[in-house]
Amino acid sequence: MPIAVEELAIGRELAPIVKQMSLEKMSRPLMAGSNPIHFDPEFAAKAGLPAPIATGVMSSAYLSEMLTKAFGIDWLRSGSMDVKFIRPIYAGDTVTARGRVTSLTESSTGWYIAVEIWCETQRGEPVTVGTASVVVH
Amino acid sequence: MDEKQPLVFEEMPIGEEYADEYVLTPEMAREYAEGIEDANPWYLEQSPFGGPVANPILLVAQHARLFKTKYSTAGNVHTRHETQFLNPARIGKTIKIYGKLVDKYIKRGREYLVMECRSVDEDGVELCRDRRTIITRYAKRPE
Repeated sequence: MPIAVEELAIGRELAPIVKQMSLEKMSRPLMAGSNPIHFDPEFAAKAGLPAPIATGVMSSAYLSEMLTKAFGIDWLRSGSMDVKFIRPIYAGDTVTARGRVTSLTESSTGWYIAVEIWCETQRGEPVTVGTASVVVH
Repeated sequence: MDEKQPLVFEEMPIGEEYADEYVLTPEMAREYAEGIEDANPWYLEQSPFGGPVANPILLVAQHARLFKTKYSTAGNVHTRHETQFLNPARIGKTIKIYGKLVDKYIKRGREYLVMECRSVDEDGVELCRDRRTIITRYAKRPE
């Protein structure tokens, strides 16, 4: 169930989403396409990486899952996100998607909600950072 | 490994346009749901919009197809996307995607390309707009 508007407040944290990364998931064609940096250890090594890295949009998908749970269909029809992939994600990492409400503004079309969003690994490092917004009706 | 021409930063023309299309099949929706472990029934069975709709990030991920229409993208790394979702994409529709290279720059030794993209379904419904930034390769340019 999405969060009711009256339950939202600045500073409220969204329910986090936790995922375990694996090379099997990272290397699926729909995730990695034909880019070997996502599945080929030898190619990754030549590129200067210790191992293949997940596509950044896998972390976007975890953030979107969190936002869909928080805001329901409004996320799919009015959501916006601006995210940067600042560190690589490797197989074996545990990735947690998190969000915190930063503003709520009432307008004629509904409530405009802004959220700080990020993904972090088990090392406590942010790997994806950004903002999201949605108009909740 | 694709066999397209290599993507050479210096030769990439600002303003170059790209287009492609694909069918949003139930199999694609299921494969994506399994890959990211999000089995929301909206993407697989029924949604509040009627039948199943696509995970919105699946549309964003498909914009990576655009450079591949002309270039080998082996070694590219996606670094940022600024995305606006406008309408849910219905499973079974053909999705047309369009892109335009709008900027390129070098920062801290890495080559960045910026493309503006959008997805539109076969009925002309605009689904999302996206500004995606990639680096052409992870390794930095030689000094």
